Order: sequence, then C-alpha cells, then structure tokens
Amino acid sequence: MITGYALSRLFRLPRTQRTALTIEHAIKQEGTGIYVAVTILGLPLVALRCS
Amino acid sequence: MTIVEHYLLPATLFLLMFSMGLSLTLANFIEVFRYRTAVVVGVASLALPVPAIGLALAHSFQLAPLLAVGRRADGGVPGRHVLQPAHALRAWRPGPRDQPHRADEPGRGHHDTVVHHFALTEFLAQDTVISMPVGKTILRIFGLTIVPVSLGVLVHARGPARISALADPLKNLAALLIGAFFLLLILGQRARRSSTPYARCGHRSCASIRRR
Repeated sequence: MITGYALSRLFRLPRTQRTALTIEHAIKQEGTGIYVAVTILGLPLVALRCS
Repeated sequence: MTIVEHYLLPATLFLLMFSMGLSLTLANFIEVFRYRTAVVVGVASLALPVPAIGLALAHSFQLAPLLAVGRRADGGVPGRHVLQPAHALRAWRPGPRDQPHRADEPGRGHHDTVVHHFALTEFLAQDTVISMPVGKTILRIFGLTIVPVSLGVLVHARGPARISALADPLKNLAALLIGAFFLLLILGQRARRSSTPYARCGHRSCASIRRR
C-alpha cells in the first residue's frame, strides 16, 4: 500500500486515483489468488501467503 | 476441503465478480483509456517494486520456502496469476523433490507450465518447479472474472433495477464467504501440519515452524 501511495504521489496522480491505486495494492484480487493457489496449483500454503 | 476448493470458492468468486459487474457500466471500462498514467503506474508498481519488496522480506525474515515463493509470486504478478512470459514460461519437467503437481493430472509428458523460476530456485532449490497448466488456468480465470463481470454489466444495463440493487449485499456476502474460506484454509493447514512438506523439509525456517 505504501508503495502504491508513494508511486502515485511521485507521478502526481490526482487524489481519487491515488486512493484507488493504494486500495488496489491492498486488495489485489485476494480471492482469485487463493483460488489459483489452492485449486490449480494445489498449494494451500502459498494461498495463505497470497491472503 | 475438496467441496470448498472445487465448488464453494469458484462459486463465491463468480458471485463476487458478478456483483462487481452489477455496479459497473461500459463507461467505467472506457475510463481505463482516459486515465492511462494511473493504469501504467498501477501495473508497473505491482510488477516491479512490489515483488522486489516481497523478495527482500522473504530474505530478511528467512521465510519457509513455500511461504517465500508465495510472497515472491504474490508480488511478482499483477493480479497475482497473470502470466509472466518474459522469464516464467517453460516446458514442464520433473523436479527432484516436493514436486507439487497434482496427482489428478495424468499423462503429463510435455505440458507448458509457468514457472516462477527465480523465486523457485532461490527458495525451493534448483530444478524444482511448480506446475501450472497455462491454458486451463487462463480458461478458469477467464470464466471466473471476465464472464461474470460481463454478465453483471449486461444485467445492470438491460436487466431489472431491483437486481442491480443487490450488488452491495452480494459483494458483502461474497466477501464473508471468502473470509470463511480463508479461515477454513488456516484450520486445514493446522490440522495437516504434520503431513505437509514442513514435516520433512530440512530448511531451518520449516524446522522452526514445526517447533511452534
């Protein structure tokens, strides 16, 4: 989240886009990540990290 | 866990994406082209600095191999599972240990796979690969993201208003179910700890996990 926020500040993005980018770094499709790790890779441990 | 993994989790993701689509219009997608800088910064950030930080953290805290690879793979891929052909696409070949390819995929002679080679070499050892069937993965992700979102957008545009009003409750329900799944995953891992590779792995962080 800090990375996303810092980069968006660096590129002088408007506040709304900065907020969106920061939140995107926090969320990053958790559910899909878990799905790939558990169902496709068969590695629940990796899924725990993905979450 | 099998029912949860194979049915509940995909259904939850479908529901989540569908509810997201219900709150979107075509104009929202066009905005991607309007805010090009933000998109480029976001994607580049997820692809470059975030994985570098993940790698640094994995090294700093001496994470167990699978956790370290998870962290690296997590950071390394925008959206987590989008393919990185530049350094990741290789033909499948058997690794020497902890080969995690699934037993229900018979006849794997020469399937293309995605290998996060750098992280794997770093944390699992040379020539150890995680097998990921590229076509199947793309198809499944497509089916669980693009399809339900498109369906949601279509319903939002053409369907009855009362269905679109369900977007928020559906999102909350899906988030709750994903949370429940995550909890199940943790409990499952605790129960299976003794039979996981941790039990056999000689890595010092695995040994420290066994002791806890």
